[in-house]
Amino acid sequence: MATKRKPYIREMNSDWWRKLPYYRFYMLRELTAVPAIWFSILLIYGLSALKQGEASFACFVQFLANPIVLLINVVALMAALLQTTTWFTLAPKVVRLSECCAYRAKIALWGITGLATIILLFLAL
Amino acid sequence: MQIITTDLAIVGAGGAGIRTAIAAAEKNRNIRVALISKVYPMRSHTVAAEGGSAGVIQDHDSFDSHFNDTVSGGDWLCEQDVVEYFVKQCPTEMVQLEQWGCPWSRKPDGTVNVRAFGGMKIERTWFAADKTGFHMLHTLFQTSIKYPQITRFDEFFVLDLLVDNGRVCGLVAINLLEGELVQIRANAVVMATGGAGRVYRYNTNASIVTGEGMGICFRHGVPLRDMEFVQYHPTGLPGSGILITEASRGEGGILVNKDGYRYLQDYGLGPETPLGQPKNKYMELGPRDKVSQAFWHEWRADRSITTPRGDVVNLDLRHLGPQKLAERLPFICELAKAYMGVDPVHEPIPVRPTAHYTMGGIETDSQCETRIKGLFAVGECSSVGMHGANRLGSNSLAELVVFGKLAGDAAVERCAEGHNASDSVLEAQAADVEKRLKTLMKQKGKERWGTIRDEMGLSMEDGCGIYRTAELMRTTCSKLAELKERVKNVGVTDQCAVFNTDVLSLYEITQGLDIAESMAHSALQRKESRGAHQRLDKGCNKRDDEHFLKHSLAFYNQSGPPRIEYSDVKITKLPPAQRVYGAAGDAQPKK
Amino acid sequence: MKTLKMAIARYNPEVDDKPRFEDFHVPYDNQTSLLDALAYIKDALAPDLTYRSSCRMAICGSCGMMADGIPKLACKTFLRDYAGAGKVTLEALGNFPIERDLVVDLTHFLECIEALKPYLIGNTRTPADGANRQTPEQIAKFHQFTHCINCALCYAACPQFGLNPAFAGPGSISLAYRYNLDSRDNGKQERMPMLNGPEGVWNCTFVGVCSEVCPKNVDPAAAIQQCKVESALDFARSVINCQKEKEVR
Repeated sequence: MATKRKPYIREMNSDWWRKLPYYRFYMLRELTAVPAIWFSILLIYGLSALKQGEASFACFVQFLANPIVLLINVVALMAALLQTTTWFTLAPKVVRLSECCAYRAKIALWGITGLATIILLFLAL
Repeated sequence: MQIITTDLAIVGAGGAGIRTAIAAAEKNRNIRVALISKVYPMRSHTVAAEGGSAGVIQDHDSFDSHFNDTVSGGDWLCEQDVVEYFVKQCPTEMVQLEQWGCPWSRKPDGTVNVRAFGGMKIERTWFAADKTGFHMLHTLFQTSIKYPQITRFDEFFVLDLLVDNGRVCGLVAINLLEGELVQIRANAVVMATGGAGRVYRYNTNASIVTGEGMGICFRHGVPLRDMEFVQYHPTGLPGSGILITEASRGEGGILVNKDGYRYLQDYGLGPETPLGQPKNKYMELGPRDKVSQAFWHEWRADRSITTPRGDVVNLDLRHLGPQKLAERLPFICELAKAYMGVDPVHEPIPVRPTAHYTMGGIETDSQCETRIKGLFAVGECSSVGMHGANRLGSNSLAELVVFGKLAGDAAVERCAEGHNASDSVLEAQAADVEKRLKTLMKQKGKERWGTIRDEMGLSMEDGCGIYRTAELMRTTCSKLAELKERVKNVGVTDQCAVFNTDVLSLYEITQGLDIAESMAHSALQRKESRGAHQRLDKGCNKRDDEHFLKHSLAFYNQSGPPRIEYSDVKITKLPPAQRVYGAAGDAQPKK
Repeated sequence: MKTLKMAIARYNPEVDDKPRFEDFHVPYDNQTSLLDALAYIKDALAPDLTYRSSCRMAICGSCGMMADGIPKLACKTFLRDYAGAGKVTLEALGNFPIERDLVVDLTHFLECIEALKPYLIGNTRTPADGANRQTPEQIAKFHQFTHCINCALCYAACPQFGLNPAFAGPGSISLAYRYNLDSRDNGKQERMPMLNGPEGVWNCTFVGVCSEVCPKNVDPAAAIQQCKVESALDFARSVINCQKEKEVR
């Protein structure tokens, strides 16, 4: 006898991520990859400019000073910070730390990040 | 109708059913086992058991001690040879579960820990925090996966048995998703369908605990034994009936009335034990029947707390401290917060007795076999004679695995015998089941099954509650008779083949009425007070060994209430004595 | 008594082509759960309303469904929490085929559990040998992952499972990992091929929502990420072993 069942399968549309705040935040986290790529390209451009001589590097510095580039870089910095935040929250899970250890690990990671930033800034300026 | 042929069919995939299946698969590597359940195995009600499972393990404990606690706890209505077998097998089965992966709570040295429980003289309750049933069921379910001999039929609802010539030959079930009937032909059938707590309005049981497994056997002439003994668990949440484990008291929780007084000392369970130092078989560690009865007296004396969901007393766990509560009773904390809005760390939990467990069930011999050859019963649906008139906490989880194993082994032997049933007879029986289901689907009328269920439940609370009188029981009996007529006028709305819960709920409630009747009539005719069956009427308020040291047997009667007969109780080494707890228990001369 | 509007997605495979919403007005108080409300509707308004339920105390895992698009256990979600909005929408558990009303087909989930061998392997002790020793520290390693009630809320939340229905999914992977971590078990090598395989852990992009919706704080996302580390190490080991074998030859 023929089955009376007729399972209804819900299609997953391409806008699935808009349905829940949690998904939207996830997409935002994934999107931080785009500014990261931008900054990587920028870094390569800088390095190659440095190699090609002073005039070329000056041109690169001038490019960096462009307000639009500046704005994009600020966005890239924010994205990097967001990515760092989520990573530091999740990393303790991966290495199986207890809740209180995870909290300490998170603080330690931020501490190291802050210290490294200060040292780099100190060296650069 | 599709016919599936197997060797052994097991109805119900809770703790007992799965343990039976595994035992059968281990006993005979070539056996085919059909494990049939109306829900996925992990939804079975074993999952909701909290406190623990008994098994003698400590050096200063003994099988005799566990035996004595169980038999006196059951007010001498236990089959003593069965209890002797049970207590000896418990530790083996607990270790077996450990070796299948059950995460028992341990001591710092890595050995298994045990906790105190009501009515047990020495700590022997193995536990996995306060989710013991959950962990046992999942361990059993997951372990069952490794046996290719076991084929699961998840969400198949068993409607009836196929019996020819006094020999069980299989069963008829409906595949819930397909809406199709199938015959499962087998040489032996094990019923492991759980209790019938849902015939009461307020109970600790899952909505699936409707008792139709008992009902099916009942209608085939197998008697239901000791059905008047229904356990009220002393600590359920008001309204919902959600279970708050006895382990709360085993860990040191106390029960207080509206004046903050530990009233149990007034009911033969005292003297009062110091706070945080629970003493076995004293006060809060008394057996469930006595603790529930004490509540009833407090309520009648107006010393309980009135709430919109009924009268309550307080279960105070605050002195255990947040750390112990988190380690030993995390689920209780979760339940109290979610369903009562109470955090046990800071506030007492309001509780009241709720129907919990059917001590009686399908009569079996000591090998779990019923009067129908090849038909076995195990777990709460059965009455192998373990619990007598009152079950001790943590004996039922142990029962599932001890007798699951026994039934599995015994059923394999029965399977080997085979049978020569007439195919045409079985076909005719199956066709009849199909016809009855079709008739039920077409049933018209103004009644609703929900109304029948609620009226049955309330009537059972009134007539077959913690304390009973002839008058109240008679009222319940006539109410049930009325409902049995009215249920024929319940209209079935749902005509869809796929997952039709309308018609199956009606089927469950129809069977439930039979079970309720067997309880009420067995109770009415037991003119004494014993264990969970306590009467207030004159001449019936004491235990009467002369006339009632007997099992009651309820036989199905198509044209009216069940016929009640009696059978002897097997007494091997502990003759009936006075059943006392607290200081009086210690004062009693030792045998 | 206050009432709340409940919009429930109904689907009768014999009549409907797709789910349709039906509104019910349900009286409730401070303790009424979604499951209580469904029981009320079935009793009083629509006897053909179809849903699964059993324990009503959040331990059996039967009554998973979508409440306002979020996977929830109906028995542990309360109408009072939707009083502000004045309405709640109930649909069958996401990402699974709908069989009828709020009942979905869980076959895939069960098959994944079975395929990942969630039982102790390679431990030859018998009851006569007595119990294994296992210290509280050894138990703590896997204990959290034993709390899964198989409700499948994590599957309903996981977009990667939605996009790839062959993915073994958070629940079954956590369970397999629970046994990998058990000091009594020696079966990891039997479970790793599937965990490493096309339906295994690498489908996960660490959305993390599975842990967010889990009613028992099992944290399947953590299990999967830890499994990824294991899987990567497993891969590295196999490469090294392969190299060594070549050298031996």
